[in-house]
Amino acid sequence: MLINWKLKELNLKIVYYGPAFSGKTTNLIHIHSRVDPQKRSDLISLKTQEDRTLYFDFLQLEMGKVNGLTPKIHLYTVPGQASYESSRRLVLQGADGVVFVADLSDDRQEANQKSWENMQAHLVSFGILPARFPTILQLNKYDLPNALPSEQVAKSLPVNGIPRYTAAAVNGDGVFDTLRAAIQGVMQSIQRQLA
Amino acid sequence: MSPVEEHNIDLLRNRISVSAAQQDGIQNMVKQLKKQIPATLVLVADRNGQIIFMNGDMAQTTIPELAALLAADLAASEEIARLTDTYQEHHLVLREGEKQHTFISEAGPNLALFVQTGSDVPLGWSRMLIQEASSKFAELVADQSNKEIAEGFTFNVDEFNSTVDGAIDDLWN
Repeated sequence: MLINWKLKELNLKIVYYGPAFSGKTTNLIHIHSRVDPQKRSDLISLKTQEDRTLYFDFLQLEMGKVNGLTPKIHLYTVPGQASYESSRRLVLQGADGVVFVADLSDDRQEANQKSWENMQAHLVSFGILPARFPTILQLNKYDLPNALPSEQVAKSLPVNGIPRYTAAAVNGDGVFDTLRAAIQGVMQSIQRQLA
Repeated sequence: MSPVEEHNIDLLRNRISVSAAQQDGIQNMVKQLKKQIPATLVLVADRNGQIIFMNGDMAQTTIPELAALLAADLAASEEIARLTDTYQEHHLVLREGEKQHTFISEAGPNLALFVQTGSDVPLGWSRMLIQEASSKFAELVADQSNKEIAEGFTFNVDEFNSTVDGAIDDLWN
């Protein structure tokens, strides 16, 4: 978080985390397509030649004034592929909140589990208590024929008390609900700090 | 320590607060540095890629992306240095070109500095001024006591709650 008292800006960072192919970039592509261009930056994607996220995707949203401050929300994705561990840690550093994008496909459950544990370990290494960190769970790809029930997947991750949303990000379904919950979660934590 | 206090410490760990006086100081130093080098573009952002001030020729719309990439570039090169056991403080990355040079410098634990110059400007001269300026930027924001939160800002919980939902909804077409 960066608060600039002269410019009356509140800059916040939300990171979309999750295993490879879970739909993190797809979320940002949909957000980019739906938000008024006056209220967002361009979407930048640092990709491999195979069109996979190499480092991160980035999109900035500018909200209307809240309590005299203009919130600027910086959305990032991490690269999901296993070999990009260092990059994931760098992108996650400094986050004010996370959206964990889990894949409901029946063959991706181990990947969900590993990625979740990996994210928790990184947060702890930053001195953050994961249980008290603003986190949203998105259960993505419910529209696939091999999708498991979202309750079953949520139960397999230790996500007690974390708000969760079912999504088919490729159609935009559930994308805004997830984003809204993530911004609300982060803003509520700001409220606790500034009040 | 109560759970609430612990929670606040967690959240405050990430916070950087720039006061009006610090912002004025940064703006003056950026303008001075740009003139002194001379540089075509100088940008200061925090280490998470959030813009603090930019001076130079660049479309306003592309500044957020530049700031995000600046922080990412610096973070990646620092990580490379750590992995190869070559990390040193006052880390500076130079991209030398036929027409222009770009410098990316850490400015203490909180800030990153981006400077672009023409290739006719001697590298040693730019490097010296950038490293001096980086130290000054770091000193300038070192005080993170956040006094203005208590003294110059009234947080209205009711207003906050009523406006935040509307502000989120307004984003969506």
